[in-house]
Amino acid sequence: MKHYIKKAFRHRMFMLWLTLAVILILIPVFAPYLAPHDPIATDYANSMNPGCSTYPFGTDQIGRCILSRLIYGGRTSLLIVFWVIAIVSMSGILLGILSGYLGGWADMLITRLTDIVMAIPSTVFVIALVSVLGPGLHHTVLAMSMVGWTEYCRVSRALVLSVRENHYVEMARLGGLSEWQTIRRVILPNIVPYLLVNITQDIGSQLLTLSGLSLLGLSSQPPTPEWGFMLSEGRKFIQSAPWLILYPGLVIVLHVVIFNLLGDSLRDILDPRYEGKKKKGRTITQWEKENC
Amino acid sequence: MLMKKYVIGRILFVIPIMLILSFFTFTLTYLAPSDPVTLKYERMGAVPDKEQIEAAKEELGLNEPLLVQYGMWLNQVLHGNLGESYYYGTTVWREMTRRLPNTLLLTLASLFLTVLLAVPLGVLCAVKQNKWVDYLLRFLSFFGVSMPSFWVGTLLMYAFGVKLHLLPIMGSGDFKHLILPSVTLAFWMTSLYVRRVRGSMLEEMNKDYLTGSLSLGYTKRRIIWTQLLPNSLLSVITMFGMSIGSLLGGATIIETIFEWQGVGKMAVDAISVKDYPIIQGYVLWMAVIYVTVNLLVDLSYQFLDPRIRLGGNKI
Amino acid sequence: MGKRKLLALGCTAVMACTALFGGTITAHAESTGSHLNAALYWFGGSLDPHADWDGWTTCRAGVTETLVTVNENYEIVPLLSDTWEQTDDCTWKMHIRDGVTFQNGKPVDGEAVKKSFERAMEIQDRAVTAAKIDSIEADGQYVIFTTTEPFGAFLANISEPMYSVIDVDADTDNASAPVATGPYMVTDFEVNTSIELEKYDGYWNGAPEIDTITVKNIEDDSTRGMALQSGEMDIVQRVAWTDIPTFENDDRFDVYDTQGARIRILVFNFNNPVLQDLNVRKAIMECIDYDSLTAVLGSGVSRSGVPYPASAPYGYDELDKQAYDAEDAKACLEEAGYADSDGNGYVEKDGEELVLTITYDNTGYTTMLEAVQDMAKQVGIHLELKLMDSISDAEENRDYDILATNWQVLSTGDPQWFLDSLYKTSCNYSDYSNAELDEVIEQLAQTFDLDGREALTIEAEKILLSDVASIYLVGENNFVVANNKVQNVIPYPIDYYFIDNGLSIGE
Repeated sequence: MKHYIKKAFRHRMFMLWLTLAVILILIPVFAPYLAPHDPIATDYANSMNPGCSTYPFGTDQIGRCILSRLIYGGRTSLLIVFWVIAIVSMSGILLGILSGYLGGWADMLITRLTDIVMAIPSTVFVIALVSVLGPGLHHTVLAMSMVGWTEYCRVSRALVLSVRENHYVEMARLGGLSEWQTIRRVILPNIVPYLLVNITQDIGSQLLTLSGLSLLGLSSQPPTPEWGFMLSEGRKFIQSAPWLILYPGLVIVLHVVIFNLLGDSLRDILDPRYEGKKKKGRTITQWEKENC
Repeated sequence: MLMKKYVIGRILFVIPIMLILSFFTFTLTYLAPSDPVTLKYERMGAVPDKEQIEAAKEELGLNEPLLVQYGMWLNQVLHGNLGESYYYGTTVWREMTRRLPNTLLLTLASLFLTVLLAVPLGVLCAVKQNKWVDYLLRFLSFFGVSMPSFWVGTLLMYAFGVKLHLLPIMGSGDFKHLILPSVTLAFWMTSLYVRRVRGSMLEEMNKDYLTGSLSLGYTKRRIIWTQLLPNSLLSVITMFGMSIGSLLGGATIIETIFEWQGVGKMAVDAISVKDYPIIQGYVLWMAVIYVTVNLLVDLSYQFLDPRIRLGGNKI
Repeated sequence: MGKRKLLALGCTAVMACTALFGGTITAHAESTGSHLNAALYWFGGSLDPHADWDGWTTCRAGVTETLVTVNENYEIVPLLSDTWEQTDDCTWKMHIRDGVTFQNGKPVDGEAVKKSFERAMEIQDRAVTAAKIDSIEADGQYVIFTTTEPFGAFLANISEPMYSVIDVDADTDNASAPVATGPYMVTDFEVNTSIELEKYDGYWNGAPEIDTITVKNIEDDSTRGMALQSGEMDIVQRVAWTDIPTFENDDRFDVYDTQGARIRILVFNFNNPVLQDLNVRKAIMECIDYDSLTAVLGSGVSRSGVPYPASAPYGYDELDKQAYDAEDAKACLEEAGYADSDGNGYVEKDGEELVLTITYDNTGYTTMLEAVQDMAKQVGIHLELKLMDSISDAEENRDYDILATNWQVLSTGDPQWFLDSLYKTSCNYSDYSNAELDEVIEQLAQTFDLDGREALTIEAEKILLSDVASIYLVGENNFVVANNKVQNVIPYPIDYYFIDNGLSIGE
């Protein structure tokens, strides 16, 4: 672990993306100090303002400050995404480990379950679930979680299968560790680094899923601002007030890009296969030189 | 012989998947708070009699217990009848066969564009690793995968339809109607696959056989296109299969904003009016797609890499 | 087989498929005559006017017609029937216009109308209740209706598109190609997607101007507007109100608007003890700044404040409209025993804060309700918003405090249905009960002359307003937007009228 941390500190790009990601997360946390206005306060005199010194990103039709709504909106959007990821990664990893480690009927049951959930496109699945559960923040989180765990399950199952082959797992078993202890002390630490990469990149894709869902009418309860909802509301104004669709879109893109970049650089650090590549990458260039 | 048995086995696998999925969907719809009859009245802003609603529900068999309803439906399906839509005055089969060609068309067009763009660009990135072309394309692809698809779609509609009057923005019709939705889809997928192809190309480049080929005096171009690329596409195939699967399930959001009459939009519309027979039909279609795509992915592995034996552990 | 060959084969296959599918889609044949592309925002499941609400679609498309119709001033005017008389309280004798033919050339007589009505009542429960028809007789060009009870709204209600007259005996599939009497006939129908129309030269009121029309279903408001701008559509019904200024400022387009008969309304749940207090209802009503609300929603809505729209003859100008009065709202709250004793900005009574939830579904204007919420906060009323997938359960179980919904108040040009459905004792989900009002409604049902009906309706409105039975937030406007080549567009306040005989295309 220490080894990774050291490497992370040396990896300049990783540190850059990490800093940016932390800033992005802190913005909604300190929203009350950063937002110039109350995100739900109306100002009819200044409705549909394209942007001025008081309202840098303009206002919507009842004169609410778009910038403040975006800053506060992160609270809902990011919170939903983090909750979803917390739930799906834990349940997915747990199921994957059980499936890979136990094998037999448990494995069979879990893989079939994964198959079934994966057989239906996730958007349709989430919409169906929300229509049963009813709209609302908690239900959206629940529905997204019920769909999103499969990838973690598959990946961790595969990882467990490959780790299991390693002799040190056998050694641990011989050394008298129980199955649960083996999973916790031996298998988990070995697969967590790989999954960290997955988790980081999942932040971006869950944000995108969420914004798609709000287009189809599933999102937070107004007046709480939420990016996806702002985006789909803004779509109606693309002609008369393009800033209402532009800024929320850009904010979502910014978050997804940064979390994706963070995930990519994290993989550079954690994945030994990529470690080797750097050096061998040079051989490719050499190879090019020789050939050109 | 072994092969045949394997394929048949896999195809038969569609049956349990269908059974479980359809039962699962049935349970979900059974639990759903409102019923299709009330919703239908409500959508037109009317307040119907309770008696009218009850009569209509009785007629549709919606008051039966869950298992009875499921049994009735299953019996119907076993007799080759997918039932009738509650909402459209048509059978599920007719509605599906009307929508499927649209979805297939959109799928093929966007996949075609994706393959056409992503493979050469991915190869270019790998070959020119860490040159400006590589950086530029990677940068663009990062943005490509980070944009909400309906955002991109709406902006494209506005630019090409409203401002430039170049392309029709909605509906299915002739070739022109296909352009915007398939480009929107391909835009996102290309970005994804450029990165994938690049990654797996780089991985291949590090393998030992390269040195062998080089020493044999093959040209660089020949090595790239005949050895590196086919091998590196191997690792992209599973992902590609999944993309095809989800596209065949309908690109719900794209279909919605472009009013493209495909199965994805059909499913979402059906969910919003609780048109259970249509939802069930859609679910069956997805089960077929899922099993077929997985089978094809496995078979293509077999073709592309004889070392992989069928029936082995699949990750 | 080499891998390379395989790849090449794959690529070819993909291309071949694309070409194949591309090839099967034939471009629309360029017709030599005039052609119009029109877009609706909703399609029924079929084109059978008697099924469900599908008649609304055929009526909009100018395919089917009813015996009488409602014009742009909410007046009931002759259509297929040119004269009628009421022979007693329950009997209506209607003459079918001479020279009206079905689109297959067959003349329309009393017998054909009778058969069509009987079919409607057979397959549609709504058709039985809406006009309260007991029996129908045909006599040459006459058709005689007997109602089960004296029913003042009879004439208005048979203008509902579900009573469209079609040729029941025609050898056709009514779900996809009904044979009716309208200026345009169906040549092709694709469920949920499009209707192809051709003019009917034998139309009784003169052959229509346009040769062929394609009617498309475009559900998304913004997409519909953009399709007009991109030139794909010539005329569309309803665009996003946010796009109206764009169209108004563009001289390539004409915007036709009229105040519709659909209102946005806040319905109180009278089972809630807090809301049983007139002062509380009044405070909520008076805290809303209707003018700001109307201004914020732009040209999409008109000032309401009373049940019926200004364009209808139900006393819009003389009534005491619901209006903003924050001071009086505060006074009402005080009188009801509410005060802000803990200083959190919201009032309470006996230590309990006044919190009410507005339940609404996706058709509600979220922004409008957010504005109402903010306005209520200014006088100390705490309103919560609750978005539901469907509000039918809330209605059925009375599981709401305030319901934000919309009502078509003059669905067939007649005011009675709205009063019956929302305010008559024991048959409304608001559980509103007012003996005085019930009496007026009862009288209305038995009054046939229009002046008398108007006076009674106004009386009913006065009772509703003084009792603050509901809050009438805004009235919706109906929009038809067309490019400037399309002429003789009539914006009907009742939105199931759209394409008509007069529509034409200029140069």
